[in-house]
Amino acid sequence: MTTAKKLMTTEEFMALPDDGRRRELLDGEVVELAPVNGDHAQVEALVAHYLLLDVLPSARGVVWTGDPAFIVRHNPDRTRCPDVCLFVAGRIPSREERQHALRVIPDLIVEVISPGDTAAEVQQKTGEWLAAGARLVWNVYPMLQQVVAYRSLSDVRTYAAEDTLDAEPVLPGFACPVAKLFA
Amino acid sequence: MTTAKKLMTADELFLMPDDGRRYELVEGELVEMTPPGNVHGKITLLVGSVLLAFVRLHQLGEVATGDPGIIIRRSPDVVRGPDVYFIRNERIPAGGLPAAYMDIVPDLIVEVVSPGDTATEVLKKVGEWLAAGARLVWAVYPELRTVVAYRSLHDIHAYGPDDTLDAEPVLPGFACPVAKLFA
Repeated sequence: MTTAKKLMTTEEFMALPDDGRRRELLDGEVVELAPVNGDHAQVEALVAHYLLLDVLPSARGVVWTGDPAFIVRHNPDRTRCPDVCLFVAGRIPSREERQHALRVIPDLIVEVISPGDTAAEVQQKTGEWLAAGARLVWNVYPMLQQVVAYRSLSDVRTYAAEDTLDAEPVLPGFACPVAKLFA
Repeated sequence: MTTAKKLMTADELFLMPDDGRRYELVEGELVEMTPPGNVHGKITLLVGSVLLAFVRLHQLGEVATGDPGIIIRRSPDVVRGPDVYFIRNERIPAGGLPAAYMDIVPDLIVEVVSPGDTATEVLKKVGEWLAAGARLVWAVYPELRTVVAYRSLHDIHAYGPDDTLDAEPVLPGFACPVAKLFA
């Protein structure tokens, strides 16, 4: 007699210890993410910084870091944890909602790409975020000093060091020279 | 006294005895290419044959596969071997495709992505092809049944399994259901 492998639920995943490991739940199985390097950490902090500089004065949004969990698919459960994310005012989750893994997907998702991330993984994850409802996904490449922005799978553009990054349509008017993110 | 490292040229690479290995030349240094997997081989041929059928029917130019050497840059020399390419008649040298490496960058470049290829590597390679003059680059993801088409770094479009792949502006009229490429 064979026993079917027991898949983990989102609730069980959220009950895992906060031991500094970065994890995601993919179709009921825990996947541990590689530790980030200093480059990744610095860029992540800078992206969050410039987004916060924009949204805090006008309270037009909130920015989260620290790999919060979002449920992108159900049965089997798939939970993803973006490096930085942003909710615009009007969609900000309540205090109660913030105690659990969230079903409501941020307006802007930022993933800083590590050297070992495979192209297929990144493409898959981007498609997942868009399908789940993100309106803008930034894939940030510290090694190339480029940001690839997806508004949909057919509306994609790259911003290089000499460009200015905008956040249309999520944050109209946001402008950050790409070079500042890789200073 | 230090001796400068002797860099290899594209001509020297072409004249190297066939040792059963495949190489690219990156800034004058040999980079060995590991043999790709079988899915890669199958998909490369499928994409190549779909392109070839269209190109032959309309007598538009040449399609090649098998990592043919394209000289992207000189001094130091950079030679890359795309998985498939298409070059329009008007751009082919007078005597036809050369037996050796070609220093004209084809109109359409196809790179089939392997599971181990990193996102940074793929984006870098795409950027290189575009900067060298390719007008359309396809990054083909067999496991995701997706083709990401780059017309420039500002004009990027991902075609999924339910979409129809076109080859604008390089092959007007070309249309292939993406699912057919991965059948």
